[in-house]
Amino acid sequence: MSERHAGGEAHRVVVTGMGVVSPYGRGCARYWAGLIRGQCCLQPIRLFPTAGFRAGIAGEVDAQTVHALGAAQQSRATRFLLAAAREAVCQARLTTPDLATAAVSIGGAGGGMLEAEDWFWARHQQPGSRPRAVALRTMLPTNQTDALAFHLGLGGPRETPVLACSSSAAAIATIADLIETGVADVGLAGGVDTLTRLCFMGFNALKLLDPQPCRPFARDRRGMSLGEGAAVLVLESWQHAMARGAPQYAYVAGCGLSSDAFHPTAPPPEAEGAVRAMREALHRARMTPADITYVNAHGTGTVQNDRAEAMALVEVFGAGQVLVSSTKSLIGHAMGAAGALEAVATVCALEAGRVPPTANLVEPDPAIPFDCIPQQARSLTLHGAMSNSFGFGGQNVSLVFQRAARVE
Amino acid sequence: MTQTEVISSLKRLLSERVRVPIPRAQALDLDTPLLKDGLGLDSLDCVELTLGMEEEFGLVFDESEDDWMQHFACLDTLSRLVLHAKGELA
Amino acid sequence: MTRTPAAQAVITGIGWVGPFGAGDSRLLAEVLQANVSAIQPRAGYATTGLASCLAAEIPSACLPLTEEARRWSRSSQMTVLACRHAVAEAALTETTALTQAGLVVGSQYGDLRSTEAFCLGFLRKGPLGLSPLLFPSTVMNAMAGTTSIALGLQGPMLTVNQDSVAGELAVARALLLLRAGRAATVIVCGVDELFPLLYDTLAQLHVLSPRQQGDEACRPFDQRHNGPVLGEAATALVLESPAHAQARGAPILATISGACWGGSPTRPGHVPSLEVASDRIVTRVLDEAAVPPTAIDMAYLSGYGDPQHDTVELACVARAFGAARPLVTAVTHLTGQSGGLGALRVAAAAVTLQQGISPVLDYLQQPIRTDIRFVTQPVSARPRHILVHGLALGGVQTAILLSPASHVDATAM
Repeated sequence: MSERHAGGEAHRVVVTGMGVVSPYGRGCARYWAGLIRGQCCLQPIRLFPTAGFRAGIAGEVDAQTVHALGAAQQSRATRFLLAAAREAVCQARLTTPDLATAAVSIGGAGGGMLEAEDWFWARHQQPGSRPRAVALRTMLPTNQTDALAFHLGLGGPRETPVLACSSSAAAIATIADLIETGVADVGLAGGVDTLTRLCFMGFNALKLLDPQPCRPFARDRRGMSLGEGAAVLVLESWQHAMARGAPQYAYVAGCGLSSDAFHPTAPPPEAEGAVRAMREALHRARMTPADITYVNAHGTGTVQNDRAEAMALVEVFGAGQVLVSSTKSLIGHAMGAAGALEAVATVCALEAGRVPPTANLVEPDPAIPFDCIPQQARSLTLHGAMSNSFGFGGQNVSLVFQRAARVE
Repeated sequence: MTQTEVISSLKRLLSERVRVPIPRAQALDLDTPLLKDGLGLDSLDCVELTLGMEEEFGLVFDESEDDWMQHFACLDTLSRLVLHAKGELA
Repeated sequence: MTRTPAAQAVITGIGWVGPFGAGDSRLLAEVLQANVSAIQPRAGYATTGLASCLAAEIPSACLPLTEEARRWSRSSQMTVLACRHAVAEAALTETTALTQAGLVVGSQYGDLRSTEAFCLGFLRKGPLGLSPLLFPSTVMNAMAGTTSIALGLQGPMLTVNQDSVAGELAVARALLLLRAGRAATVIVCGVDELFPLLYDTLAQLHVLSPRQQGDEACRPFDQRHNGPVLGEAATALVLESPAHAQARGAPILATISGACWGGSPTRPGHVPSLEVASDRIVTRVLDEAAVPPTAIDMAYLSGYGDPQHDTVELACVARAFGAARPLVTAVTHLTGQSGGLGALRVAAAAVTLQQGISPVLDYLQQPIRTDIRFVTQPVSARPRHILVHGLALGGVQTAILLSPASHVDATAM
């Protein structure tokens, strides 16, 4: 394994702000409160027709919240992202000069596909109509990152990583590496995805969706549930944060990235790639498995994923040696935004000393040898936690967080 | 519907849906392995093929049953699945 | 902000699937030497009735649908093929080093062809018309995923999405992987393909040449420039840490002495204004690599071919270099414009350093600036260093500095 670049204490990566748009509404506080309440957001989709499809539920951001985000002329994805980013930047008390050199990496899978679909559907269902092609301008995921950079005046390195379900976890790894190698002092890392017809139809066609709210780690789990949202974290070098007296929520202690090189949609049976990603994250964090008390799992609720993920966790931590929960059981799978949303949940857990539950978990799978925190949140002191994302195409990202020594 | 007719449709679906070259699909015997040790179809191909069969034969399959993949072992087993679902097999 | 020495990397293999066929650095050298454009009327033009009809397309014989590629979309096939050529040239095929290698793919449009096909399946036949097989290709990471499976790559894998400079960004991101110690070898691929819906839509939106007046052509930096002409390509590079390459006796084509990336906040989809676009990225890469501006003999620019874009790009370069301006060249007149083309620019720069061949802007009659020298004749001497500059709509800018293979020994790791 390659040696970590010796950035030293000054370049340690600290989270100094967070912002969220989720099915619970706008804001990190609402998000965390909803998770801890164990309130499941999975409801019938209202954004587009779902007739003819087996599974029609998702964690959808309600129309009232969306309306209140403003910027109605922007794509849904851009509106989510701008709101989440502004909250994070505000919380971190970043100034305009800070933003002028700040790096930004926003992961996403669908971009503004929802509006592009409106265009494409109109062309086909109303022949002779001429829908406005301006809808296509925001179609690509990069457009959301560009819009954010424009509105917030961001001038540093800019990236839009697309790793399917692991996109925004990879974004966090990018910003962390930029900070640790001294290229940037501050960066915004996050992700955004909205519900789209494409995603909805695709996962239905693959028969990976549970018509009922997903039940990760349950004996009778039958598949995933879709979701949407945005989350942005402000990451900063410890030195820069200390110098300006920024709030410090947690350290991004280490990130691991690996590939399965196995199959477009299925994980390898022994989940070796996931194991490597987790071990790399721990190694780079200079921590051992025993330092991790809680793992926020990828936990989609498919038969295959949960089984493979459990095997990987046994291999790394040992059976029963960590608490595990899946917040996808509460808000669904927000695709490109999932990694960042789950990172925020993990940071909040460290800070608050509480771990969110796995919803809908009535009868845990006996083949999964972990306490998956069924139904109810739990209080306990945490020093180290991990958040995992295992994306389609075999892209594994594992993030290790550590409680900050000093929290404002 | 006879088994021969079903198999003829399945061979066409293999090409149309799963992109098996037409000569290769047409040359398949009743018992040529379709999965790993033979044609090389995997789970994703089988999901695609199942959707194709549902459309072609007007059926709905329950893929959650245990050993679902066993039906895809060869054209013989697959065609029997279709015939059974259509009520044309005991 | 603390400075650390710019991470260096070496290029040990090049692979290219484009309008001139498929091959490695030898193909690229032949194409640069011949300097003949692949731009011609798009196959199937007669039926579209659009103002634009030119493109540089990959010959159909290049992408056979072999048994192995049965499920691979066209853009995935392009990526795998290009990466295989690069890996072969780097003598890494079927090695442990390859298993541990990272992969960074850069693309602007990804696999939109598959997305269109997937949606059409539904619009024509409802839910039963959907193809589960196609769905994974509708997310842009499919090319990287397919390549990692085909080549057995288990290291870190990313796909980066950006307008115009996706290839350069992939190179910069790969260097960050090397610098952060996440891999000793990273394969980079810039890829974008053409397909009818994309071409026709961009033509209808008047994004392509001829935008307002004049005839349809690709003429970057010429007063007659009136918009880009599209091409398609997948270009792969094998990047390695110098220590790793030297330890295994790898063939080193060129060195990357620095890579900087950043952005000027710009309205999305727009060229940054002259005031906002900056020379800062170029200045920083020279600074970090400790190479004086006077030593940069040549610069490969985006050469987008659009009046505003060309003007701003030249202004950035002029400001960054002051009096000591490099000779400017580009590849788009040969290959057409595509989002991942920056990887080809880096590859071409490596070939130029190695062999002294560079593209000649033979169409250039009236340059829009007379205070910048362009490559209008074959160059007589090998450049000492080459800058590859990229500028995207939406404001992202990249600057990658290439040096000869011998530069590795001259610099401490």
